[in-house]
Amino acid sequence: MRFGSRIVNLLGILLVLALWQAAGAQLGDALLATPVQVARALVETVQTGAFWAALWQMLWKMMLGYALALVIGIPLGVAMGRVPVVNAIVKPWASMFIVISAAAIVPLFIILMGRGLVFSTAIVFVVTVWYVVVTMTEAARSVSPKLLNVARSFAANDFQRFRYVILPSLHPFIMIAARVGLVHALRAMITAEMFISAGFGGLLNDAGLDLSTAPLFALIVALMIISVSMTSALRWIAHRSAPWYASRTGDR
Amino acid sequence: MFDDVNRRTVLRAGLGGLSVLALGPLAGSMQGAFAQTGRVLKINTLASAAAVNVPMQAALRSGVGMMAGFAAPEVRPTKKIPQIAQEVIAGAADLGDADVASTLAAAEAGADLRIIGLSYSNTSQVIVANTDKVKSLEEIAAKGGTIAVNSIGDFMYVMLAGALLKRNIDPKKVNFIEMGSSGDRARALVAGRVDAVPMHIEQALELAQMGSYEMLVRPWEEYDNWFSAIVMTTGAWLKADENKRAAVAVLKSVLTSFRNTNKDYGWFKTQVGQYASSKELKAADDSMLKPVWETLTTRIKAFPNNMETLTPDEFAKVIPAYKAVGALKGTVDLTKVIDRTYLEQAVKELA
Repeated sequence: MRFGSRIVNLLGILLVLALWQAAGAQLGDALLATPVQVARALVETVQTGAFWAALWQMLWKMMLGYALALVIGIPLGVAMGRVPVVNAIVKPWASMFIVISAAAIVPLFIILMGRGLVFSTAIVFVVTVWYVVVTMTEAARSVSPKLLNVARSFAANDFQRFRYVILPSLHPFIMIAARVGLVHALRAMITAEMFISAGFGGLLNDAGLDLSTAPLFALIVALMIISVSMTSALRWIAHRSAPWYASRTGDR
Repeated sequence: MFDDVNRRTVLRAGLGGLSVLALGPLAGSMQGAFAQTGRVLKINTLASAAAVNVPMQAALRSGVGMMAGFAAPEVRPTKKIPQIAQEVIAGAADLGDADVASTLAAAEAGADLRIIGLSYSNTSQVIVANTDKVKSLEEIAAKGGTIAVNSIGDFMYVMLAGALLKRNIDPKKVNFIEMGSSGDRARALVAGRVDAVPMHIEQALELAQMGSYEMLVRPWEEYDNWFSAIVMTTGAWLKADENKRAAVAVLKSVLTSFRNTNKDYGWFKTQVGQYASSKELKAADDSMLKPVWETLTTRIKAFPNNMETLTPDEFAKVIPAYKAVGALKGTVDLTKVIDRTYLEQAVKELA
């Protein structure tokens, strides 16, 4: 079954690549570079030092904002899920801020904070934290009352119930929040870097100036590979560290 | 080795990762401790460098750092062109390699701005169309065609609107749409989505090899000088003596770069390889780059050796076009905004 689904996945990818190749050959590389041209451009791109320097610069700064979003978002989300007062205070703000796009706030943040580490960390944090908060709020609400009642019947106090029941049961959801947050953090960081034409965003800007679309698509493909690799790594960690949840959801 | 992965090891690894990230800024500050000494100016510039921008980029990125008392500046590329001037006005940057339109509009609105130099004297952007479909601006207007510009109200939009008015064509008969970079606009033209677009001369020459893409408007033939990018700052910033010295140092660097470009194609080619944004332009051979250099230095006269064209009178010639399309009211006092003090000092010191 698993082998079969892999084959179907592969066939799906090959079909899209074949259609893309045909469309690209028809339209020309100024409009749509073919997968072969993109692959060549990708090989050229990854051989340059500028690519790796830009990638490192982007990932390092993004991880800082992302980590901050997790450190603040997870406890805040749990508090919202378990304490009605906190939920009443924070929820309206979370509902409003979650719809703000990075592109809308970047110009303001540049003027307020300049273009350094504080700027990129702040953009990633502001865009990411609300997704983490909302995910963790729902997770904290869904902790099984049965488990909490069992703990109560064993005379566990509030702290013990949190430490030994709520926290372990939240673990899979922390990993989900981390995965959701990571995608938004990456998008926010790219947007921020495109505005200040630095790092990976700067490479995307520069590639946009070429008449051929191959260098641009090569960078987009590289970005997709990075995103898929990072989220897959988080999924793998989640499955290894919370096998009970993975088996329950049927997620492989 | 991965058999030991469980909830606790993940939490411990996460905490370890956070510690490493927290130490990251320390690594950055250590790097700064060994950096060169001298004042580091914050200079906002355009996000992308076409051939015409290269001398300015070379001046900022390698020239200023060689001036006594100055380290290499913090050159800050900015995608949204009006934001270059906005940050200077807000005091977030010392100097701006900004566009004329937003600088003059801000000055007209009361901002205390000074234009102290030119990033280049005359734009290298041209209006290109697929002449298999349309052959003139008149034809585009007659069919209610579409022209894509970077942003409505910017210097190229105004230039084009002025060119339409010179031909007794109402600019309202043309649909202007906003479209990102010159590369995006070129692709839109190739796809037949728009009738004409502004693009840099080197892109126009490259595109001409792909089909019937011809230049409909050359700004340097429409106007003596179609100013587009200038060196600007605020009047308040220029009050301090150390800032006056900084302004002169930057202008000396830009003038040196202009002069090198005019007299030495080899120097220009090297700088293009280093500072141009487009991979295609960086890798351009002589057969492509030399005609571009010749056009920039002799026909467009983009890099006047002493920035002689930076005068209120020359700028006054383009104001009517800005007024005609409503981009400016025309009330800006050019004699106050254009300040040649630091330029003249720079020319004197270079002599």
